[in-house]
This record gives sequence, C-alpha cells and structure tokens, in this order.
Amino acid sequence: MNTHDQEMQDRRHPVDEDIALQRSIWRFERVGWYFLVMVVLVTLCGLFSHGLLSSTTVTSAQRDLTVEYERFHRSGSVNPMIIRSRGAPGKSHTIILGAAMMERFSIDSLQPQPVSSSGTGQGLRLTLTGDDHGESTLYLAWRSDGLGLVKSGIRVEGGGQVSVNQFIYP
Amino acid sequence: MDAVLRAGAIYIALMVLFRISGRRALGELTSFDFVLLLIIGEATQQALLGDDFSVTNAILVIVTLLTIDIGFSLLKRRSKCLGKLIDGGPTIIVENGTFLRHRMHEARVEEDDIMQAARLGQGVESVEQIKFAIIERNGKISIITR
Repeated sequence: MNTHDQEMQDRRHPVDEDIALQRSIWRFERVGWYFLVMVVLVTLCGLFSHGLLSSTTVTSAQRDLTVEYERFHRSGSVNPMIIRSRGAPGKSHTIILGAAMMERFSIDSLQPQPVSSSGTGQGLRLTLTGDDHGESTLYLAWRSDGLGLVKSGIRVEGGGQVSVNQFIYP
Repeated sequence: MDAVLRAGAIYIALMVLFRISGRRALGELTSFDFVLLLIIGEATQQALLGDDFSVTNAILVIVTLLTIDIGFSLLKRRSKCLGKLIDGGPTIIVENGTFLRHRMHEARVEEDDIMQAARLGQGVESVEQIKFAIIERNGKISIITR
C-alpha cells in the first residue's frame, strides 16, 4: 500500500471520517469550479443576453423589414430592439408586432411615437411615417415578464415578415 | 407564489455555489472574502425581492428562507448521510506531526494555513508539536497538540 492509499484510509480517532464521501465532495468542488468558469465564458459570449450568441439581426425575404434584437432575455430585464421597415415613399406604413411577443413582454419605451397604434388579435399594429424613401426606424425597449421560449413575429402590413424567437431566463 | 419560488431558488443556488467554493470560503474570512460576501448579498437582494418592495413580500421571503433552513436541519438530523453530503465531515490533515499531503492537496489547504491555525489557537511553533489537525465541518482548522 503506497502513501496515497494509506492517507486515504478512514480514521476513527479523534474523528469518525468518511473519506470516500469527502473525496466525492472534493471532486464535486473541482468539477464545479470548471462549471463556474464555463458559466463565466458563455456569459461573456452572450448566452444570457448581450453578446455574440444573443444579439442577432433578421431581414425579411422582400428586404423591407429588418429587426435587430436579443435572442436571450432575463426575466425583468430590459433589452433593446431596432425595427427598420420600408413602405411606399412619402406614405405611412403599418407594422404588426406578434401577439405572443406582446403577451410575454411589455414595451418599456418606444421611439419615435407611431402615428397611430391599435391592439388586434394578431398583435400590436403601429403605423409609422417613412422618410422620402419610405423608410422608418423604430427603437423599442422590451421588458420581459414571462418565462421560457417565445416564438413570435413582426411583419409589415402588405409586405414581408420575420420570425422572432426569444428565450427568457427566470 | 413568486416570493416562495424566488427564495427557494436562491437558497438552493447559493448552497450549491458555496459548496463548490469549498468550506474554507466561509471558515477563514479574509477582508477580501468579507467584501465578496457583501457583494453577493447585494446581488442576491434584487433577485429575492424582484420589483416588489412591500413589507409583506420581505416577510414572505424571510419566512420561506427560514422554513427551508429549518427543514434542512431537521432532515440532516434524521439522515446522517444527507448531513454529511450537505455539510461534509471532519477531515484529518496532520497526523502525529506529519502533513497528509494528498488530503491537503485535494482539500486545497496549504501548510501555511495549518501552521497559522496552530499558532493562533495553540501557540504551536512546528508541525512536530501537532498531534492532529482537522478541517472541521465549518471550514475552520482545529489543532490537537501532542
């Protein structure tokens, strides 16, 4: 029996040891430390919002709608979304924010204010004035209230649409 | 319901995290550890209370934490194995004046830590004077001299 094995034998005096269990606890601590490092690394990468894994941009097939948003949210936190849409030049156009999104998030701020807004079964309709090229940009801040996966979408009335899939952590 | 779930989740998360950081994290507090604990407390507060700063919510959170704590202590009394799993057991790291280095390595304890505990508690000068040094369940190192 070598020194290592001798040391790892249970002692009964002055304390009653369970060295096998204690060694499992030490192993758990070591594995746990690697787990903590992993958590820090994936957080830096954006798995828990704001980062490479989280920030994304989607564009509609017609290229008349582009949405920049965060895939991952933490319940109660506020995250930005930028919606760039295009309608007929010189005219206003309407975008519709999906109902699922409206149910699980609340709008903390909305700039610029739309010409008109109304709630429908499909979601929130926002009418925006475009510039000379018919383009408009909407800046939103979403506060997440729900939990889990939210599959929703944003579309331009009579135009393109994009799917917006987000996950809210507790 | 929210208050109970929040308090339960935070209790379990903190218990696992402190278990990972090892017993010494709580046993031998340096001034930096103390600051760390203050920051952890501050970070935990928001998660425990959420947006609800009412007295009722605070009391519900405290009641839940105490209930879980008392529940665990009762369970530990019933099951010795569970107690050992949660709190660990005492571990000898010096035996008859000899460092048990493999154990010290796994427990992340240095010779200096043991000698500091020996000097502070017993006024011991060298390891030969130590009969047993034991890492206790609370993370402190107790010394029994020859």
